[in-house]
Amino acid sequence: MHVAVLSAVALVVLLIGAPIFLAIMAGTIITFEAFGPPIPSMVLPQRMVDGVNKFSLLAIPLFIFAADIIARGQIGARLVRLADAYVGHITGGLAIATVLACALFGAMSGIGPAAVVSIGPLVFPALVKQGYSRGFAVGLITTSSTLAMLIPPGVAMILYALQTNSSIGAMFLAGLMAGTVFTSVLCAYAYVYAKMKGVERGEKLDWKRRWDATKTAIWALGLPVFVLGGIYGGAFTPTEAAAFACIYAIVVEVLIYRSMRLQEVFYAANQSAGTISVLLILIAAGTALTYYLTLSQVPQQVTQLLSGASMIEVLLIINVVFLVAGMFVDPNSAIIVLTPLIFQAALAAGIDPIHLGAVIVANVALGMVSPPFGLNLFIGITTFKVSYREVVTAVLPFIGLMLIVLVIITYIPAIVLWLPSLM
Amino acid sequence: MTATPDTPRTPPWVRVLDGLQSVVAWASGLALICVTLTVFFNATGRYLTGWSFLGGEELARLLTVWITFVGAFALVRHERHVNIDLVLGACPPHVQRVMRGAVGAIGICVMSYLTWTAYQLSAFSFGTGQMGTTLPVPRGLFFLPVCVGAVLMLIAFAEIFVRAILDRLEPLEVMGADRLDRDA
Repeated sequence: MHVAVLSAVALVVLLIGAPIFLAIMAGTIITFEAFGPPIPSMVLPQRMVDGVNKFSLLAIPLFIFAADIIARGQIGARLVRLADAYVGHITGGLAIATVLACALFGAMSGIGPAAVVSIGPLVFPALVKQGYSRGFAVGLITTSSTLAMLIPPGVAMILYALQTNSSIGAMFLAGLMAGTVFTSVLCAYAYVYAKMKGVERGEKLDWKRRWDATKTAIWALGLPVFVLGGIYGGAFTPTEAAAFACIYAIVVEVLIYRSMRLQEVFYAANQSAGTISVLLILIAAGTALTYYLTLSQVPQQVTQLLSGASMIEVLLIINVVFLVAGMFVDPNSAIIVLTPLIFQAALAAGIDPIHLGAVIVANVALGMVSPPFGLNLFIGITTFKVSYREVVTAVLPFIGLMLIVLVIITYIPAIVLWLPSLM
Repeated sequence: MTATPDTPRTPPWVRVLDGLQSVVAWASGLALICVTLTVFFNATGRYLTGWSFLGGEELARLLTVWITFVGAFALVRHERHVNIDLVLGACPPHVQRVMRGAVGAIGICVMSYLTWTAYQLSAFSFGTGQMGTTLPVPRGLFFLPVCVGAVLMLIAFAEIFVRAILDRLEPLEVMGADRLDRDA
């Protein structure tokens, strides 16, 4: 009864266009006061603070800040030049370079939409000029940008790890494996598309010019090396590595590339603080909701409900739930609200928590480019000035490909668990 | 600079809220830079100088809690929090106005509740005299931002509610494009 009331209140408040955090809080407060145990109401704000008062959680705001600095600077342009210098001459070279640049950008920013606006405007005109259709170019960029969610340091990965008390390092490695599979498939599709459409190839650069491109990007490439090397070398925690990423990005953009003034760092900090607040208040509200659901033993009831289901059936349910959720709400909200509900049931079905995390993040990443309301679709519309119909038609083949990869990583856990198992 | 006759004058209360919003935005930005520097110098100091600020971790957490709750004010004011606007977007303008006014009213109720409970929590925590584990500040400072943030968000939701009644809401299309820019 109380779960029905909670869901109904939250749904009604959501449907009239209220912020998601407000809908969660309205539902939680009403059911807590009406059906909750006789404990003081001040436990709710206490839980909200507990939700964001964690040192490991600081990795999220700091990586968001680093991403904002990188998105304002020249790192994206240098990565595109570097990738094009090495693979631009092969069939589908520029498209493959776009995918690789988005993957490299993801290894620095960790946020899905950032690559669309950083890499997209640099490669979109060149892709169209070289003979790729506008639809293919838009689909390629919007889909490739979701690699940032999988390739470490993905913010969604950190969020899942914190929700489930899993190792952030292991989640990063699982994400790296999933991201590598996605990147390979996108590159293969770019090659096949270019071959079938007879897209002209780019000029093959000599090694001197390739070295020049490498030199200009060397500082940018140092960022993931230091960050991930620091984490896996045991020198830094993920939070410290995130702070290092911020300072590194500031030093590179302001002092070395001279593409930003120090004043712009403050503007980036202001913008990041807003983004951080949007995300963290959602986590705070989600923590209060999770507390109430745990008091009401809802996760146990979900586990009981799914107790007869096999591991494959549970994974299928998780795929459907997160994929649909990702189409309508932003990925982080989906992870915050739904993960605590299904986590116990997934463990009971024998699913590895790290594998589960990779599957969940891959699902919500796919949801970001899926109609009707995937966030990247709308960012693609504003960035490339294309119609909704054009962008939806453009991403459909990419969604088909990503679904195939999703099935592979869901039902062959060894693919994503191989690297974490070496830890 | 003087206002042209056809430029509507901004009411004083809106100017006060705009000023408050600027202060909150800059304070949040500075707090984020402070968090970054604290965590960075603590981590590098451990290797380079063998020294780190003992309360650094707790300070970074405290500032993040303040950014979370107080920083949410500006985004509530401009209706930029993550939401699902498919029904809202499909409705005619007069229905949108009613729905946005309803969101304002719900926000007022929820934030009033949060203000009261967070006030009780903060007062209780300050009353016990409990201090931070490593940072020499009262533990109540961790709960105070919920109360302060809830008051600010209450004001922001009240502004939306009043604007809905007076039919002075920002157009949804502008907000949507703006929100996409922000997300981008």
